[in-house]
Amino acid sequence: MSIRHVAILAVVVVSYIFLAYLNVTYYSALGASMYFFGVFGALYFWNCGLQSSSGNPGNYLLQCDVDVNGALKHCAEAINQVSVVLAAQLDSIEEENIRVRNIFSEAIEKLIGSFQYLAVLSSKQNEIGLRITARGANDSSVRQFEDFASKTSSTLRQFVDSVIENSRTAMSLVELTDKITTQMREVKGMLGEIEGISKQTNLLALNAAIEAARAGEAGRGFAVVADEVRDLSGRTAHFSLQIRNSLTKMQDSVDEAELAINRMAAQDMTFALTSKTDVEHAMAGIEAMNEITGNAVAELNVIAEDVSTAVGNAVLSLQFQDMVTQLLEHTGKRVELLRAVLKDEAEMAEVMGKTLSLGDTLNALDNIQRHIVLQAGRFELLHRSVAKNPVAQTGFASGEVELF
Amino acid sequence: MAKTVLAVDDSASIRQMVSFTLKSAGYDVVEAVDGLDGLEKAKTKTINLVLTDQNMPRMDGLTLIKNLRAQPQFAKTPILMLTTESSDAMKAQGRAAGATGWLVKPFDPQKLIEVVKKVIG
Repeated sequence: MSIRHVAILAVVVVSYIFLAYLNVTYYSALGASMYFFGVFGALYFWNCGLQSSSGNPGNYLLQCDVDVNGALKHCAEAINQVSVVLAAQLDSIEEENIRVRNIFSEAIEKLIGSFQYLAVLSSKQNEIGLRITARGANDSSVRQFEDFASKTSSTLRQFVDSVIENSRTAMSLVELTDKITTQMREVKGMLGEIEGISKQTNLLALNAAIEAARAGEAGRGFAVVADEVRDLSGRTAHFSLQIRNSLTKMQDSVDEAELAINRMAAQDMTFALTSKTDVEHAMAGIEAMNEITGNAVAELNVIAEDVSTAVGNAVLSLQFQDMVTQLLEHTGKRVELLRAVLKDEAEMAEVMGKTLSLGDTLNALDNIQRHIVLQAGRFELLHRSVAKNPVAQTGFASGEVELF
Repeated sequence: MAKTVLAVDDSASIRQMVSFTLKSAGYDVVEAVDGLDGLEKAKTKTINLVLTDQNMPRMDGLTLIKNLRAQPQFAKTPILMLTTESSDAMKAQGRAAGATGWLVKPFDPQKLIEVVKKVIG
């Protein structure tokens, strides 16, 4: 194989390597510059002629319009320059990679902390809601108050009913006293009759006594009868008077009883009715408050569940940090391999730069050819070593679960 | 008494999330930063379940499982892998090493609790 062929082959392999480079990394600008360098080298060697100076095989004279050693040195310098630029870029990539991981890690840690705190708060909120609900249903003080209000309302209702019933009874009593008064008036009227009879009897007895006195001895017995009759008349008048007096006293008592009954019947029930209404309002208020509290607690519980679900989703989504970190670590491995390649490139450039004699030049070119083949193999290895990406996921659906 | 889960992952955030999720479900959680740390932590407490990542520095999940299974007290302890790895080849390796199950990240907190309950109650 002629040196030209070697050179052309080298250019082709270099081009292949840097095309592979383009695929391996995504820094197309660098890859493109390396590719440009390879093409430039091909054109350079294409313009050079290669002749045997003495007819001895292996003793070649490289004829070219530029100095071969100088050209190799230029190539070495160019390779070095590109290596330096690439190494700097790789350093930046690595540094940025680490920064991204650190920023992610710190931010996600705080985010997770926040979401967890949210979950804790939501859980507490839920507990408070449940406590309020339980308290509404079971709390003894609330229940006691409700019982008290209920009993008070019942008592007041009974009291009002009782007062109304008493009022009705009083009205009946008033009617009865009115009847008694009427009957007493009738009795008094009858007493008047009795008194009239008594007066007449007294008058008759007096007349009888006069007639008995006129009859003398014969009328003595009759005079005794007349006296007795007169006495009976007097006693009748006396009893009649006593009865009248008793009736008058009874009338007074009945009048007083009627007054008392009227006072009782006219007793003001407003306070009882007002109290009853107030208690009923209080009861209605408590019921309304319980309903409002129950609704609020139910809403709080729904919110707590929503927050819990949202936190679950957040926990799911925040795991992207782990995936991104692993992807970045994977990229870091690629960078490490590329750094090793660059180191070899620099060593090759050093060899190229030291070439002095034609024999050395040919050896160097031979070395370069072997080196390029070796590098191509290394890129293949690089491809294989980083081909297995630990993160296969492309989305954020939760991963599958499999129990063996 | 609450059952204890050993959570092994080099990602602090994943450990944090696993720990929070399982603690909220009533489990105790011991955290370890990699397989080697997991082996050490496994000695300190009775572990009812191991939940481990695969790709970790110093010692990966599969090696941890092999090391644990070599110890008589962990011969029957359930070990679940929780990893981004999801290839059948990796799962087969996990199964061969003695894993009880395979969970692919990202994990749904509710699903994780369900699986752990199913495995250790």
